Amino acid sequence: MSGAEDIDRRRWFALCSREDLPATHIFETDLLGQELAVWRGPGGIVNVWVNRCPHRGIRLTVGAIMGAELRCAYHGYRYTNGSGACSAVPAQPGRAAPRSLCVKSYPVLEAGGLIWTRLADPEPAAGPPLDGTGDFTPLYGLAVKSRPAEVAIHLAGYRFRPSAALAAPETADESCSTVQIDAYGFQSVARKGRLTSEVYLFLQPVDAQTTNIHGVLCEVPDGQRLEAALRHHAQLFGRLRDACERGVRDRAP
Amino acid sequence: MITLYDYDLSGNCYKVRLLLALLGVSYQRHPIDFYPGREHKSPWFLALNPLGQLPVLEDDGLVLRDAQAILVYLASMYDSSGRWYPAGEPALLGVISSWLMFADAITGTASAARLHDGFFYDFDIERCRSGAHRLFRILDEHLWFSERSAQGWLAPGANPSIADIAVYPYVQLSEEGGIARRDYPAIRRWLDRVKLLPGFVTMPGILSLPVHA
Ligand SMILES: N[C@@H](CCC(=O)N[C@@H](CS)C(=O)NCC(=O)O)C(=O)O
Ligand code: FES
Repeated sequence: MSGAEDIDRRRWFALCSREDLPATHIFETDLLGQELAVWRGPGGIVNVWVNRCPHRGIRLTVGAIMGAELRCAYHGYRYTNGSGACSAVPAQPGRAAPRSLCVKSYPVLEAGGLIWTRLADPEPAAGPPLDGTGDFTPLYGLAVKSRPAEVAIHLAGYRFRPSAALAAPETADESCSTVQIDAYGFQSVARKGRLTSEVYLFLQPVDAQTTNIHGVLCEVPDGQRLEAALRHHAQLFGRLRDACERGVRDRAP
Repeated sequence: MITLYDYDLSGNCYKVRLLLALLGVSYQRHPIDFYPGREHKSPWFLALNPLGQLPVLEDDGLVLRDAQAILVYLASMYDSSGRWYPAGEPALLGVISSWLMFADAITGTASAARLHDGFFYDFDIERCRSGAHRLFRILDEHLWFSERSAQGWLAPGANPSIADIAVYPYVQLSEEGGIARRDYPAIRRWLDRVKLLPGFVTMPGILSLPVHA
């Protein structure tokens, strides 16, 4: 594995928003080609696990959450919230669960309304670019069939309108600028007079062909303004995805 | 007595069985040897449905084809709660109809991909799959917004409608046609919600979700 890939496996990546993890749902995603099962158990604990049952390798995402355990769909082995340790084997009710059977799990952070993980040690000095405090509104995120570097080029040109100004027509005093924080993160600020709106945009390298975009708005607008802002960014993300994928197609042999 | 001309592995037949189960309406099945027997193209079946397609429903002399049409009829006739197809709400009925059309577009893409992979149909598989992904993207975004503004069903409001039942089967079965749902988190949550409806029944290829303490 090359040095750059090593560094990528150590760094924190956003996987989904907190709203993507309702009770009893097992969220599925890949990070750098590693398949993951993500779920929130009792006590608010978020689990980021390798998406394979250690028994016979069935995907854990087709299983079910039963209280503080995830139960594999195949033979019903159960794995514990927080540790991933096997707690029960249905065929052997009286016997202790084999201790060697433990789902591999990854570190988890919740910050800026998003769930973050990293795949390898040692932990890098830099945490996620957002902290746990502050009011953030997760945007509709989506998958782009393109590589992160490609999507980054498009995101660097991200232009949006301040959420408080969306109902009015665009005027000459509006502006928006986007800066790249690091290889996978962007901060974008839109202004109109005294109004400002700020978003963070993060890339998740999913697999060789896919990059997810996760966005958060650094404010919680009320009611209709919230709806308008969410629609606005979803529309811009959709256009950005189409533009990226058109670029990928045009270069295909 | 209602008779459903039925094939176990058909998602379009399954959506009718699913609504009948959710409504608690009893019926009898007339199994059709769809594959490999092609009984739906036999003279006696073509007399019933000249399109040569499943499902067909018979009720008290009425013969209906097309799963979506059958769902409209069953909900209008047998759902005393009026929730599944709310007759008094024109705007909602319009929205529901648009999703019934969407369901048929899913049949033409995701179901076609499954027929290609599992039943050796001669379809352009890449076109089927890319067409399904195009629809899934629209569906995923729609459901994400619906989760925020309402209860996460296709039509606005607190209750699922026949739109959810019509769209559900071939989305849930998409992996049998090589169409992964990893990139559609809001769709996956909606699939869970459908599975948790009281009275939900499965078909081969669809697992139930245990209801847990
Ligand atoms: N629009 C119809 C489509 C039904 C359909 O495609 N049925 C399949 C079985 S799931 C079929 O009979 N295919 C045979 C054919 O089209 O020739 C519906 O929703 O019921
Ligand atoms: S594969 Fe999971 S319990 Fe056997």
